[in-house]
Amino acid sequence: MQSNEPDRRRFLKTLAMSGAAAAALPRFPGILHAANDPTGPPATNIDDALAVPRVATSMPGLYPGRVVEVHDEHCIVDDSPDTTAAKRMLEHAMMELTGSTTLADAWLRFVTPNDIIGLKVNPVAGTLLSTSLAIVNAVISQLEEAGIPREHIVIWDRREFQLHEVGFTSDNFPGIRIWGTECKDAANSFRDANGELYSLQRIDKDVFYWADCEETYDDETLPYMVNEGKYSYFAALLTNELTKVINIPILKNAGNSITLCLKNLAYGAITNTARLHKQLWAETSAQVPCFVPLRDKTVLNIVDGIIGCYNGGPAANPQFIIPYHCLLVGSDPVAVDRIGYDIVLKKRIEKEIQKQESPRALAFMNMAEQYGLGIADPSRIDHVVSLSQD
Amino acid sequence: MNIFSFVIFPLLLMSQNVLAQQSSPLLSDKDLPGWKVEAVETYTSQQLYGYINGGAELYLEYGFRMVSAQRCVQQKNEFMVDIYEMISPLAAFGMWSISHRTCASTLQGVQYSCVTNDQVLFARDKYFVNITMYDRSNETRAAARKAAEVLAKRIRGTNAELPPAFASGPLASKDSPQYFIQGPLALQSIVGNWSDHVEGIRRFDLFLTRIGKGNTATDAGLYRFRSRRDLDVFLGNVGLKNAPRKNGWLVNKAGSRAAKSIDERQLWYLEGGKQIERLMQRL
Repeated sequence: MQSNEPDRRRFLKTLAMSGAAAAALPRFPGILHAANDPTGPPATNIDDALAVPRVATSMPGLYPGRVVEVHDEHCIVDDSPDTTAAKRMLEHAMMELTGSTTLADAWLRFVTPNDIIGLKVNPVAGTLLSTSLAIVNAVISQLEEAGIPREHIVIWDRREFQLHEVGFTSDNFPGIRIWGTECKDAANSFRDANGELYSLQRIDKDVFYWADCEETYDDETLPYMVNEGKYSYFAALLTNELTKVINIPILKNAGNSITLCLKNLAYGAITNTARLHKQLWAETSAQVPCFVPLRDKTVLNIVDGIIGCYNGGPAANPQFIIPYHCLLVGSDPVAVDRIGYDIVLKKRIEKEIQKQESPRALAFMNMAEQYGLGIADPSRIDHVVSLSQD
Repeated sequence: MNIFSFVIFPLLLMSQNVLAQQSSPLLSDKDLPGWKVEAVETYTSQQLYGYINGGAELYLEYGFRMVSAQRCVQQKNEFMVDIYEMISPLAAFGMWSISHRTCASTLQGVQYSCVTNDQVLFARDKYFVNITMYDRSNETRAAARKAAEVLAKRIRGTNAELPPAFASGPLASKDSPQYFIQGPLALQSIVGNWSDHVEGIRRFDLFLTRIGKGNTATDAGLYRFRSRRDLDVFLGNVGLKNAPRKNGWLVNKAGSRAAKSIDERQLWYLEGGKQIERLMQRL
């Protein structure tokens, strides 16, 4: 039986995984104390994450506060993102972000041929509003051009079957591993012959996000959540196999706010999320990326804004899906989120869904900035906008 | 005449009707000749996170019982039918109201319906039906519309009734969208800035419409709170608690916000645009 407090011995593994010590994370008493305030949100084990020393690759990475926004009005062909255009846009963004003179050099600033690289995509809204195959193809081809072996690349998210549904299959990506924490067998069953969830073999119970709230799930729901209780476990692929993560969310709203880099990482990397959606949405989005596996391995964020949405998100409602014709690229997930938020907000205002921004929508970004994950203050963001050339 | 005619047969008919009313309306292959209607998948409120992930909360906020999902396929053509059973006709209307923006047409005889290039949406009785097309072929559009018409006929019951001011009074207009909102998430989808108005209030009902166009449009709402305390919190949040009165309305100095209590839990609320004075006289 699990206790209600995080196991300190397990936490030692998290500490050990952090590698060589660097500058300690800044501490923000206001936020930390708020977690223990009986009138505030439920307490979490964020203190444990913040105590782990940072390393050279820790967020916000190589280019804090720098965001490149690339536009191409011809990036959609026959209602679908065009791979050729996506490659052109991504190349342009990578060169602009890094200042490199060659594309290979630009990529090798973030990864090496020895890395095992997870491409964290977002297929949860189905084919209409998923990270596009075009942009993922573009990333893979440019990684290969930089010398990364194909077998070192994994397309990854929580639900393997959702990945397949939107086209992340072996047929479309030969030689690339497609992996989801929650998975089924060939007979479409979540459970093995002993009735145990396959997913339990795909999580790392030594690395977890603990929050003082819980929910019970019925037999049908449990396979989607993996476990009940106060623990959310990280995907074993992330903790044990991947050495780098390239985060590829899609440009979409979540109510008044957005679901881009931080949310894609946070809710995509752990189990037992329904309880968090309800009570700790902003906290989870800002806190889970503070844990070593995400904080120190996520080196690059590429927001697929070729097609996105401005309302109805995070689900796909075709009425609100539009071409944004852009990519947002940066190592700083908070800054990229902030720029993405501005783009979505502008569209919501244009469509008369909002008249001005809602301060609460920014809460998780401001929180993430205080945790040292990046820059949320727009006046400190180096936002480069450019057109990709045909 | 025998006992079968008088007693058993009517009882059988009654039980079938009861069953039909209790189970979700569904499609079969016979409804769409040439198409394959795949087996239905159902998800209850607890399972909704498994089906639509973070999108689940909006449905749960309104009051959701289950969704029946059916994929319809014809070679490369495909569309998805999601039949959401909500807790009431009003909840179904609410989901429909916030799920569409502009419609190319409507379904004949279905009061709350919307057809676009990509979707057919309608609310009838306690069901909100959302048909999403995955391609834009004429075959898919025609079949999706047919599926909606079949389901609309199959669903019996009463539609949501709107308050008189919205149904036939000063807030009724075929040019003005009408919404039913039942919590903060839905509010974010329609009037994002009003989220701050309901801070500290967990549940509320709001009938809302927008009178006028562009910057001159006024948002007009009828709030129904759960308690007097919530109504007071709202007035505080919108800065009207101690505002001066004008013809029974609390109006802020700029004249951009006005509220009038109907009773301890209900109030009219007007914001923005050029219609406030006119609406204050008519409500």
